[in-house]
Amino acid sequence: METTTSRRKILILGRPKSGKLSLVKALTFSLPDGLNNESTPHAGLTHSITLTNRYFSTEAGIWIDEIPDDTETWLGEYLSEEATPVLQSVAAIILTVNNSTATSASDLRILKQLSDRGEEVEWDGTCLVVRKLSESKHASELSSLCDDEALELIDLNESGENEFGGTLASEYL
Amino acid sequence: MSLEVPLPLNISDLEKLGLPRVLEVLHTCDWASADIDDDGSIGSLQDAEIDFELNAFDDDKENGSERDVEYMERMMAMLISARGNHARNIVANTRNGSGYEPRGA
Repeated sequence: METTTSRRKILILGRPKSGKLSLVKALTFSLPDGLNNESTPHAGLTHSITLTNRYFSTEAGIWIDEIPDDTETWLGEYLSEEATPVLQSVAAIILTVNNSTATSASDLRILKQLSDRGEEVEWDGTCLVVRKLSESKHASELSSLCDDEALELIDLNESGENEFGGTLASEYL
Repeated sequence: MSLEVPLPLNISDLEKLGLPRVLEVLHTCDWASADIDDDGSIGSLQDAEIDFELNAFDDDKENGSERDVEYMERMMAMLISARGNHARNIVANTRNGSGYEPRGA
């Protein structure tokens, strides 16, 4: 099957150290170019992933952006009229969160606002929240917040199937 | 005495977790429709059997597609990098035809 190149992208958003690159590496088994050292900001890094199933094989670009301290200005740019084409060119927005930080709730609100903006402009993309599996006290709180905002939360390191009869891979270990 | 009847288990009905779930969601995204100028009829996974390839990357649209991509990437560069110098690098790279490259690449 021929692999085509999609014009749509995956946008991965998150605070510093929230697991953006961990997610990229898990998805693609590689890291973006341009990571010169640990202090290299991740905003603006790009990568790509090939998605293949029985119906299609397509290479999609990955955009990475970092949520700054000044979230209002940053978010305002994303929500602006001028940015509508960018939103339309994104097929999925993935927010990475770190349970150990207290910014997760505000980060979820950012994703929700992007999702709401998407509805206004008839965007057909998907929003996801991804975190590294954690025993943090904030873990269940984050789950509740995602439920409240109707956002799907995925624990990146969890594996296997769900409670309907599947067995987690970790139980085999 | 109770009689337990195990539910028939169809492996395809199980919900995936973790990374497989992320990939599953990504596969269900609409990778064919590209921008606001499209007619919206091109396939998602639901109708991928119909004409994903036929519509998404029509040769007749090639030039337009490239312009679209270039425009999107410039927009994204402005969004992502208005806060720093590397916006200029990305825009310059795009204009030079060398694509969207992160700073330092």
